[in-house]
Amino acid sequence: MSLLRSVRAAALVSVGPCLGAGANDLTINLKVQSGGREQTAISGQSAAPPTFAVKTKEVVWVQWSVANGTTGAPLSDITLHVFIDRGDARAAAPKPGPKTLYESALVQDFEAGVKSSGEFRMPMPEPGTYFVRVETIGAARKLGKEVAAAMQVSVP
Amino acid sequence: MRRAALSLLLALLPCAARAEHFDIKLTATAPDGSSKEAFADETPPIGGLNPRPVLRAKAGDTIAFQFIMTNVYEHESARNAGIRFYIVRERQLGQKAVPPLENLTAEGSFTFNLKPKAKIGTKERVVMPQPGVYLLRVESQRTQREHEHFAAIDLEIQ
Repeated sequence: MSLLRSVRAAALVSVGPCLGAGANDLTINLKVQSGGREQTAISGQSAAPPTFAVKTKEVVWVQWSVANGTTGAPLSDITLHVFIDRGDARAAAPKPGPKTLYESALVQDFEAGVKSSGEFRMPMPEPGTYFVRVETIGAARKLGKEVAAAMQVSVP
Repeated sequence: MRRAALSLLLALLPCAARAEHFDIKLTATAPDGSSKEAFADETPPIGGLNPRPVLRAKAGDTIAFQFIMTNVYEHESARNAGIRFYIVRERQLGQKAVPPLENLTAEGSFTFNLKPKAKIGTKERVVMPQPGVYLLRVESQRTQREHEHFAAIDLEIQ
């Protein structure tokens, strides 16, 4: 069963056109910290996701925020989708698998200047290549594109 | 997949009537397939009104938990509302007081403008490293109402 679709289903019922949003973007800021180190990824600022190395069993602290820099009408029914899973952050439109380590989704309206944030802490269970991704779903209806920030998490 | 999601949503709808402000469905599943569910409770009183279900597993097992929270208010919003979830060791099964939130096995939170009928969902897989009794709890925060809602499950790790 899809958590994402469960959360989005109610919102989609009430979605309507929302014209007049400004030309600026939603901005996603993603930060991963562990062992006194940190790495940041900001949507739209890098072609390749940065990489962050973590030891097995080490706890990672993942924080993200999403800010609406548009000046027009509110962006309604935007889903913020966050997940960490095994795989390559550079993959086209990666999606969480059935054994994703963490996944969250929330539906929100973004008025101009509104900011939303979240965080979680978890130990990286075993060696492997993981990625964390924060993405909007539904922004394209108003802004013409979705917004995402991603980071590779390497556990040697 | 949209149909599957819609089916899940419809399956959740009966739960919406169980809470006055927030509907919560919290599920925890052990590797052997055993699973427990908890629904919205409220605090005060400390510890809420409902007894907590107990999920049993072994140290080293991966517990999968998921919650979906729905703001059942149709017209009211709350700016900078929050949701927090965590797994923390507790002294005994069913204890009323929430233990100090130290040395958490897992934790997370959200801060956002809560809109009417909003849904928030999270699922996570957590390895339970040590035997003991733990509290898995998700709770609303700063909803600008007279009380907050939560759902909780005890984890007995052997």
